[in-house]
This record gives sequence, structure tokens and C-alpha cells, in this order.
Amino acid sequence: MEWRLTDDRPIWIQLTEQLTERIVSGTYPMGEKLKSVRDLASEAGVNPNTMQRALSQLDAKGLTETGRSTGRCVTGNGEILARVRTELARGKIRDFLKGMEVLGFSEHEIMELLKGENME
Amino acid sequence: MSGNLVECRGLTKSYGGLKALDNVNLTIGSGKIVGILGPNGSGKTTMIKIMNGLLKPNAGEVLIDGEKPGVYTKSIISYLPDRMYFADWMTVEDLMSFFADFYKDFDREKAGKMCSRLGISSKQKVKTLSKGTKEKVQLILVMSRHAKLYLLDEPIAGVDPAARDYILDTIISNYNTDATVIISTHLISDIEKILDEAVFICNGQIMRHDTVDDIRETTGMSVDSLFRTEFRTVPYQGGRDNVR
Amino acid sequence: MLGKLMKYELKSTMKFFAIIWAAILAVALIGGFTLVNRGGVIQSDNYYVMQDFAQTNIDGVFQTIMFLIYAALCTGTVVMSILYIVRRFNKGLLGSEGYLMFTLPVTPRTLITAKGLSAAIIVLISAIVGGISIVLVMMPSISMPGLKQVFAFLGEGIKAHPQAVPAVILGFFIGILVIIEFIYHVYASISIGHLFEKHRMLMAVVAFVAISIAKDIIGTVGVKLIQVTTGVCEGQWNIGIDDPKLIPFILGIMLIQIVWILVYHIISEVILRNRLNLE
Repeated sequence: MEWRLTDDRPIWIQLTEQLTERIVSGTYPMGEKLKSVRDLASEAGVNPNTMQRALSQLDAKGLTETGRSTGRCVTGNGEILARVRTELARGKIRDFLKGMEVLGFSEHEIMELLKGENME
Repeated sequence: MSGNLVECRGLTKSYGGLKALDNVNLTIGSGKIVGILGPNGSGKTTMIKIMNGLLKPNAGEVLIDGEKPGVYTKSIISYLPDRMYFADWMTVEDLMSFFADFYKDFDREKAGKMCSRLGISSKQKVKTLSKGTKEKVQLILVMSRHAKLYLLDEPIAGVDPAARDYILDTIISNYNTDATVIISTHLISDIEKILDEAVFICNGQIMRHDTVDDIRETTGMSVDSLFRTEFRTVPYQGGRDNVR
Repeated sequence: MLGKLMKYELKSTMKFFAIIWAAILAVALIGGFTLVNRGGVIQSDNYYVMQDFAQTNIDGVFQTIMFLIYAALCTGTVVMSILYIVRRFNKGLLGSEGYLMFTLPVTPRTLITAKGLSAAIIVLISAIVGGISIVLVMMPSISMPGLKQVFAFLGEGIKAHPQAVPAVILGFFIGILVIIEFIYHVYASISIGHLFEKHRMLMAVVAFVAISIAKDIIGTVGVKLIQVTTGVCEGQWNIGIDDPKLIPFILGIMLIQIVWILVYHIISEVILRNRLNLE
């Protein structure tokens, strides 16, 4: 998974989103220790302060836990992960539906297209 | 307001009839990576030279960690100029001994490791190194100090993209969070991602001083885009009112 | 810090000058041997030493070549030393290296002093090497009786003129001060040249000449003032080797030299501290 950072939005927000994606998709497995702030910042090519801010967001959402001696780990709590994953999915669906609405598709047409897409 | 690492008050510097800096007021705290962004000739280098004591202002003053530029401030500032400043005859090893001799905060081991990772032998004479390698050695020496303030003057100008990534990565992974790194450059888009704060300077005047996050949130533009549109506007004077 | 700065100063040039010094000594020694008396010893005079040299044969091509090489090396050393003084200050402090030097945690005073003392050491060693080389040239030709005569002559001289020994020693120190004064004269000139935006070296040369002229004028005025206030006229300025005023006089000269060195240093320091403008 590559880091995709665009110019128009604050980096910490983009980092939070992409870190969340990595966690719910399993790229960062449950319970696993994350790399250090510095290493992650270096990997993404960003300021460690910015990466720290993004990681704090993950802590706040409960996606990660920071222990004194263990460092920062992905949560072992499957419920939280499932919930966040569902939220993200809902967000993507909402965006999709909005985009289809702009193009003028009806609900029925959308369903047909989706079925057709799945068959292939 | 006290406890700020860098404080510029009413800084003015003229060369002949030209004002390189015009009543500059600027405050920078610790633990930040700050970009001094402006086109060539905007006064960036002049401001940095005044901060590290290479120039005296015509009016106003600058305080580094509460002190005027002098022996103390020079000991806590690690400066990377936009040119090569080594004596030709020295070997890389000599340079490291030099830095170790004069700067108590120099981490010789770290510098040595970084050099060998680049395949630079310490016995090599500086003058035999390629221009790009010389620049990297200079950067390594500067970033291997545990300084309070790093002043990097145009560190990525005239550098190929691979080297540029190396430089930016070195800055990120080596700066310690109690220190501040000030990077002056006109290549804004290249370093935007690593900055905490951006200071816009044009014609010797500070136009803006914000965090990068605020700029992106409030304008929806990258710092680079904002700068291109902004720098034609009326100068913005005053202190920092929305930095955390 | 001063010591560290000087260590790096000397490190860079010692290697170069060491080669020249070794060459001078080698040539002097070899040349000395070629001058050695080949004929018999003439006993007509009391002065053996003079005879030793009277018999020398410097017609040979080899000797001439050695002599020329020696002369070239000595001239070269003098020229190199002057160039070294100028270059180490101009390039080492006011060139790109200045970006490193003036951001070190040391004062401009220390920087200037380090350069000055290092330059003085190099010049001093060159002078000593020069002196030793002359002795080496003469050494193979001097016989024991001749040498004994020289020492006897010296011994008598010292007994007759007891002030000679301290005078010579002080003269040696005056020599050192002359060297340091010259070096700082150069530094002050280069510093003044640095005040200008363009043609810095040219202005430095102008400053050098201007300072020399100013020094002469002040010196002449000073002497005239002393004459007027103490009533001593020009003719009475001859101080012989036995004159009790000799030592104080020499000390006075040294004092004036030290004052000038301080003046030059202050000029350099004030300019570099307040008007530094590296490019």
C-alpha cells in the first residue's frame, strides 16, 4: 500500500484516513505493534509532528492502544474494527450514490449495474 | 512570548539603496519544522545570516533562545549554507574531527554511520568527492549535531530528485523534537509535506505566518498554490496568532 | 578554542612548508660540502676561518647549480610565506570557508589571533631554518682551530661590551615582532578592503600602502615631538653599544611595535565583527 498524499487537504487528516484503511483492511494486523512515529513519518515523507497528530487520532478512535513499554499497537478489539470498517464502507457507498445521482441514475438502474458488475 | 527560540523584532537590512529586509517581525517556537518561503532575492538568506551572526542588521534585533547572536547562539545553531564551506585539503575524517572539536553536541558515530551508508570512505579527501556527495556530507555533518536550531539555507536547490528525497528524509529522521528546523527555499511544493509552519517572505517583508494545516484547511489549497496567488497582496505584519 | 583553531591552521600548511624546509637544509648541507677546502692550509694569517673560505673553490658547475637552487629555495620560501599569510586570511576567513569559521562558537578576535599566530610560527620557523642553513653551508668548511678562534673572539667581544648579549637577544624578539607586525598589517589591509563591495583585493593593496604611509608620517611626527619636548637634537640619537640608554631604547621600540600590532588587530576585529559581508 502506497501513501497517497494530495496538496489540498491537511496532511494529518489524509494520514489518519490512510492509517485507518490499513488497520481495517488488515495490512496492519490486529494486535500488531506499529512502527515508530519517526519511521512511519520517514516512510510517508512527512513531518513527524504531523504523523504524531494522525496517530493520536487513531488512539482517540480506539483503533490503536499505546502502552508504556509496549509502544503503539493495533487494537485487539474486533468490535471496534468491525464498526469502523462498516462506517468507512457506508461513507464510500454514500459518495458513490451521490456521484450516481449527479449522473442521473435511478435506484433501479444502479442495482442493475451493480449486479452486472458482480457477474463479470 | 518568552521562551521562544527565535525572535526577530523590527529587523531591517539594506545593501546600498536596496532593502533586503524591511522591518521584519517573526517569532518561532521550539519543536517545529518551519519553512521560510519566498522567491529568490526575497530576503531569506539575509534573515538566516543575521540569525547565525554572519550579518549585522541596520536596525532591529534578533534573539536566539533569548540571546543576541554571539558565541552561545553559534554553539546551539547548526547551519547549512547554500554553498560548500570546507577546506579542500581535509579528509572526511578530518572534517568529523573538526566538528567534534568545536561542537560539543556533535554525534560523531552517527555521522560516521550515515557516511558509510552512502559509501563514503572517511579517508577520502573532500576535494575528490563529486558535488552531490559533498553536499550530502555537509548535510550529514550539520544534522549529526544535537543542536537547538537548524538553519538550512536552500538545501534542495540544484539537487536531483533522488538526492532531494535523501535530504528530506535525513531532515525528518534526524531532527529531535526539542529542536526547530528552519528551511529556507523557493521550491515550496517539494518540502511542503514536512513543514509544520510556513512563513511567506517577499521583498524583505513577511507576508504570512501560519501552520501548514491551517493553510490547507482554510484555503483548500496547498501552500505552494497559496503562495503563488498570495505574494502579490499587501504585506501582512504582526505576530503569530493561530499557532498551537 | 584558540589552540584548536591553530592546530587546523598549521596542519594544512606544515606538510607543504616542511618539504621546502627540508629541501633548503639538504641543499645547504650538500652545498656546504662542495665548498670544502681542497688545497693545503695557509698559515700566514692568524685567522684560520678566513683561510678556510679563502681556499674554497666555487667555480665548479655543480657548486654553482647548488648555489642557485639554494637561492631559489630561499626566495621561494619568502614569497610562499607572504602568499600564505595573505591567502589563509583572505580565503580562509573571507571566502567560502568563512561561512564555517564565523559560525563556529568562537569570537572574531580568536579567529584573527589564531591566523596571526599560526602565520607567525610558520615565518619564524622559516627564518630559523634559513639561519641553520647558513650554518650548514659553512660547517663542513670550518676547522677546529678556526672555530676556537671564533669563540675566543666572541668571548672577548662580550667582555668588552656586556650589553651586547641582552641587546642581541632583544634584537631577536624585535625580529619576531617585525614579522607579527607585518602579518597584522596585511590583515588590517585585507579587512579594510573587505569594507568595499567591489575590487576588494585592490582596495586592500591601497589600504596596505596607505597604512604604511600613515605609519611613516606618525613615526616622523612622533620623533619630532620627542625631539621638541626633550630637547635632544638629531645628532644625539646615536646610541652606541655601551650606552646605558641602549636597552631602554630597544624596549621602547618593542613597545611601539606592540602598540601598532594592537592597532592593526583592533582595526581587523572591529571590521570583521561589525561589517562582515561574506559572498
